[in-house]
Amino acid sequence: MKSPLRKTALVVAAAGAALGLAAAPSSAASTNWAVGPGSPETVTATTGHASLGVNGIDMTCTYADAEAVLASATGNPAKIGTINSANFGRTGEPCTSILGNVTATTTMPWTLWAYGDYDPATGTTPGYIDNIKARVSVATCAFDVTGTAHGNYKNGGAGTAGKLTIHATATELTVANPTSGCSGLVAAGDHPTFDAVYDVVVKGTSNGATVVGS
Amino acid sequence: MTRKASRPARLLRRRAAAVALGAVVVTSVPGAGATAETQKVDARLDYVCSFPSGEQPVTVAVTARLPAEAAVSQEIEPSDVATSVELPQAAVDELRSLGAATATPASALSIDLTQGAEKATTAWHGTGQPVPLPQTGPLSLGTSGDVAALSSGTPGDLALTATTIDLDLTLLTDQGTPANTPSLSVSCTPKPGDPGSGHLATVRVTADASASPSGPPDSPGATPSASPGGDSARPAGPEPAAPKPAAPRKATAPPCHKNAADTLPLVAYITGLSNVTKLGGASLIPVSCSQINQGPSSLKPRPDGLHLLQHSTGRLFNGGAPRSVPGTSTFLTFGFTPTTARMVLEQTGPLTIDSDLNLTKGTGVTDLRVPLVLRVYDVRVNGTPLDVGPDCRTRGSLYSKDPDPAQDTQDHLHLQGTVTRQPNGVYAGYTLTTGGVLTSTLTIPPFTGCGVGEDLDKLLTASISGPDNFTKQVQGQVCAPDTVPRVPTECTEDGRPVVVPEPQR
Repeated sequence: MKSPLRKTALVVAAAGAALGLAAAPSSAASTNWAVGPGSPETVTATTGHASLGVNGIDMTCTYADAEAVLASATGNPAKIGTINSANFGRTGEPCTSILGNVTATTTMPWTLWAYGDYDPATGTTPGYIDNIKARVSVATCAFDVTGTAHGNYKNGGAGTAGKLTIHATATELTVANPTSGCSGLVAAGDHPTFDAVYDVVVKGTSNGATVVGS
Repeated sequence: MTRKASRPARLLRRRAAAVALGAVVVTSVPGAGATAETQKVDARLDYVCSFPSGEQPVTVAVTARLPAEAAVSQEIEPSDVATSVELPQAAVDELRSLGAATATPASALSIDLTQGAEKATTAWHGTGQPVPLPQTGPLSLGTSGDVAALSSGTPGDLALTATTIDLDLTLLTDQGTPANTPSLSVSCTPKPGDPGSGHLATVRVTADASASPSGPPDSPGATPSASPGGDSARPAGPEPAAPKPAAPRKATAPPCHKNAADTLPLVAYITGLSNVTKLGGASLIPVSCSQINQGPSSLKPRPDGLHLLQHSTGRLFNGGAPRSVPGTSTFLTFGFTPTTARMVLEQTGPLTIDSDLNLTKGTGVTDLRVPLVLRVYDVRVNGTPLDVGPDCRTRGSLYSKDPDPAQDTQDHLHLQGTVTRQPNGVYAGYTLTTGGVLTSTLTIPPFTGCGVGEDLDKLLTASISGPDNFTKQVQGQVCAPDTVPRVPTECTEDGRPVVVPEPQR
């Protein structure tokens, strides 16, 4: 997908085709995404705080985790990972809300995409998660959440985890198929928020994975 | 006395058997008139115990009495439970080398309860008197104690098998002072060998085909109802019938299925302790089933935040009727006379649960209101029956002060629970769905209908009725049986609550 070698002006992320290499990599859309230390690389992500909110009702997890396989890719956006498992809460530490304990059952896999401009100064890649599907339930209210969630990934290193920050935009997650127990609380078409910061390491180590765009 | 919510216990627990509160011992014993034949347990088992010096062979004799047969969800109460542990001379010499002249034993015998593919465990605890160590020969240490009642929600043979036994020995010199090693804890496992060894007894659990769904609750004066009425009272359609023992509950909590008439059904277990101030003791409400119909929710913006309001209704439901599981309480009347009484709480009107949750602030209040009449039967004073008759009960509902002046009508119990968002975002306290602890102070009204031939109303009223009775109820996490996929930490495969709460002081 690379264009002929020609210095161009700034390009815009995510939307369109890559327009070629720029003199300063930070001002041009990256099209090569190199995953490290190896590719493919299995990574695990954990967080001590993840929260989903809808209609003023917040649901907080003091533990959530996920596992994914990252692989180098080209394109913009480019699919750099497949998330094979995502758990919210764990035995003895469920996610909670003012209505009670919250259970989220996820349907995998989800996909991880890189897009836009890689920032070499901070080692940060803009990205988003796609193909999100989960069923969230509190007692008699259960509903599906589907869509995407934007965020970014900041590289780690030896002994330092990478940071995956997720902050869903206003409408990218959507509620569907609510049970009658949700009446008055959550309706089909509502847009939940989702926020979490995960520590990401190569599975079995304390070393962060890296994504470098160029 | 009332039902309420509490921090959910995440582990499955046995029903509390003995709760000591000052001068009061609360136990669960079968009602008078139990006519089931009993079987005698008399087992001699070979164990290997880990002493500091190494392993020693030890013989353990276990004796007890158990009913031969019980109906589904009927209490099975082992009685006259005693163990005798025989230590060989080498072990006695070892105790002597620790400076002991006498040993006082306490034992905990683990029992496996097996019924078909289902398994649970319980423990029989016992204590004993100090025994002087013999100069030569083995040492026999005896212990005895009250043990927890069992019950099973499914028909079939329930087998009791002894597994490990833990011994705590308090060692004293011949002066009665603590020995150089003042206490020793010894773990013992069955000697490997015959896999059938360790079997203590089998209790035949039968389905009670004569359950009458709308009959009077648990006819007082006779054996407490053993009918699995809670299940057979449901319409024949929606729930699987007893024949397929679909994932029965652990063998110590009553059946608890949803009310088929509920549109948003929830089920939860409740238990708790209520002081009876005049008798200087407390009464245990055994783990009981409640069915709740979750009401509609509405979001209302108010000046102090966005409020979520919810109104739900429900009922206690045990033995096919809107009541608690009957329990037995023991009091020392006149300060020294042991008196036991069988008690049950009957719901005589709607149970309502109103939640007002401030989503903005992260705080919430839930008000539970229910009328409950206290019924007393099977009273025994110092072992002698005192015939209070079949209809001895409080003149009206136990009641407490209602914070809403318009509802402060002294004809129902009011309990309140609160929930607050912690700094880390986690919610803690009582919610209808997580359960939790609720406390209240209630008044027990005067008694009526007590006595056969003689009027015992005044006696019971003088002994029991009055204000300032503090109650603490514990509700477990609810199960929403219609929610798919099933949440395994909340609902069993057949739609009963997983969490069985324990009462708290």
